[in-house]
Amino acid sequence: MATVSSTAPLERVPNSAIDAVRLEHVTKSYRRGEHVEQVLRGVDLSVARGECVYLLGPSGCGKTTLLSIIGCVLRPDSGKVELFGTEVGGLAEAERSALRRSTIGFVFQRFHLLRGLTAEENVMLPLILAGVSRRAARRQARRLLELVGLEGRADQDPRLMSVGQCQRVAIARALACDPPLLLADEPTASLDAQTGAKVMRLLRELAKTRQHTVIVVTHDRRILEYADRVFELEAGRLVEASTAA
Amino acid sequence: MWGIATKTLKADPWKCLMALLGLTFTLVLMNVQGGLFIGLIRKVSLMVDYGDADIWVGHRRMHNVDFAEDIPAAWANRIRALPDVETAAPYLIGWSSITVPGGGREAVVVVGAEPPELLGNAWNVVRGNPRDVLRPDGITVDVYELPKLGWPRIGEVREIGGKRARIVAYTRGVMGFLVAPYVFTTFSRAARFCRKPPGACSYILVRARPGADLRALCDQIRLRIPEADVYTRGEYSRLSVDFWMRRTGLGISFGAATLLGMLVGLSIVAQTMYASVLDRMPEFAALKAMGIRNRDLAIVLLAQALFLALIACCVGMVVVGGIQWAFSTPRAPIWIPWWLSVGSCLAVVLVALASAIPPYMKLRQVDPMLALQ
Ligand SMILES: Nc1ncnc2c1ncn2[C@@H]1O[C@H](COP(=O)(O)OP(=O)(O)OP(=O)(O)O)[C@@H](O)[C@H]1O
Ligand SMILES: [Mg+2]
Repeated sequence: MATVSSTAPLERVPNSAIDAVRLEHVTKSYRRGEHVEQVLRGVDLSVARGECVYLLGPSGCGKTTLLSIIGCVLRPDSGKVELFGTEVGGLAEAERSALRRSTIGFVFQRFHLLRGLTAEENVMLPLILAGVSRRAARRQARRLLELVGLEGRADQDPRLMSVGQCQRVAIARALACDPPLLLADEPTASLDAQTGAKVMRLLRELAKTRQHTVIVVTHDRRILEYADRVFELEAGRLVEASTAA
Repeated sequence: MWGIATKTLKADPWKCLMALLGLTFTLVLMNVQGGLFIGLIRKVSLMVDYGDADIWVGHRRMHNVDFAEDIPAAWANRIRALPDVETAAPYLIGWSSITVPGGGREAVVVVGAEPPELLGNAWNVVRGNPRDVLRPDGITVDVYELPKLGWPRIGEVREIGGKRARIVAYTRGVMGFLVAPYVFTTFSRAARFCRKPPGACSYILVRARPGADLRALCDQIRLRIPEADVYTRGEYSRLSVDFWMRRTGLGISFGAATLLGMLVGLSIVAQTMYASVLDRMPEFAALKAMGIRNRDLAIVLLAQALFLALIACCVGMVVVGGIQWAFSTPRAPIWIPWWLSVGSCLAVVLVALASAIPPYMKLRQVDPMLALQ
């Protein structure tokens, strides 16, 4: 992995004893007309740096909701969310946005690659938004595409790529700024077993070598071996399911 | 940022084309409308602008070159005595009618210039010579007015105000704001055509000595002839234009049409940009989840707007050139000065930038959560 100069809180918070993610009794409900759906009923979670954590659960149980709260995209109804020792509940929108930019890499369930940009340009995008020069961004993007096994496809339009290839571009984009926290929603959903395993091995490697924290939402039980810990979301609460590796 | 902006724009070629059409339409409309207007309004002061007199002396409260009151031609002598004056000659612009084959008559504006200088005589002569009016009964008419006059040939004889007139030369494109054709001739003949009382003229045209201060000279003439109005060429030209603008409201109608064009362009472009943002909502939501600053969103949209505007300006000016080449006639000239082109390009850029505001407001409100669901 290339090093990208960033203002990640990692540098600002040298104390590695602080958890990367810390949730305390987080609740979230959605209101649909009269009906109130209590999705999260008090989630507690601590994830250390360099840890690779998987979240499992049936469809519609609130995994994406939980990931959004961890990713500072959604605010919980109650409870405390801390990222690298910073309580994010009290931050203004602009500060949360800055925190996402510097600290969090997202792999969206539906990729959301920008139409009209090549694979490489999509990966360069977060770097350019972070103020990295075009040349450095291009170099970094090439390296990342190579890392996810897309060497030689840098100039291709993602619309002409297979779903699995798009997914890998999305992963490369999430890794572009070398974020200390990587959140992935179903990253292997559209990959074959072999590629899925390869990608997850890569994410785990990143976690171990660079002390990056990875949280993965998945249905895919084939990749559980790459997790440090696996949680299951049941009735709005997290239950530690097993301890792998 | 520029690259992101233009590449995402080009990914929607149809929307891109729509926006370009809107902007190009705005640009072409502004130039053609403006050009027609300027072409028309320039005719109002045509005589003054091309009449190669430095100073126009006329009756009190003269306001428009085609409607002149009589003044004494003898004023010319008083003006000639001034040291800075090179020439001062009486000039006549009057109304009469010319016979047309078949028994009809056509109203004409008779313009008489005093020999030997013939200050204010016809220009742009394409057949014959401007000085041919010195020949017996000589008059000059414009080739574009020939249909109205029943296609008179060079050498043909007509009657104006009951007097013999012989066509000796053609001008090309010397057409006034009024529908009556101009007929150029000598001063004395013009006076007879218009049945002017002896010693009367419409203006005294003055040519100053090279290097003379025209405003100071105007003051000197005013001192000599307090009952006259005295203007430099530029002043009288503007005065004539003002007169017609106020009397006809031409400026308002052309201005309103142009403004309407701008609004139509604005709404087309704003709608297209808005629609393309709506189309990409999840992508923009993803960008927001990735922490893009509102400032960067604004830069992307403004860059897109600017990009569209620049292309529209280039394409539009080519179209304008084509329209001008194909449709500009002396009767309805499309006169597009450089400042109109530059101004309209700036206006198009402004329209495009303004069009980026509604989509930007929309994007500010996009919930990044949309990207995760
Ligand atoms: N914005 C919203 N408004 C109302 N209800 C919502 C909203 N977002 C999610 N929900 C509901 O909350 C529940 C949890 O949704 P969530 O997307 O977190 O589930 P999930 O575990 O990610 O499901 P999947 O595995 O299918 O992606 C679902 O029942 C869903 O209908
Ligand atoms: Mg989900």
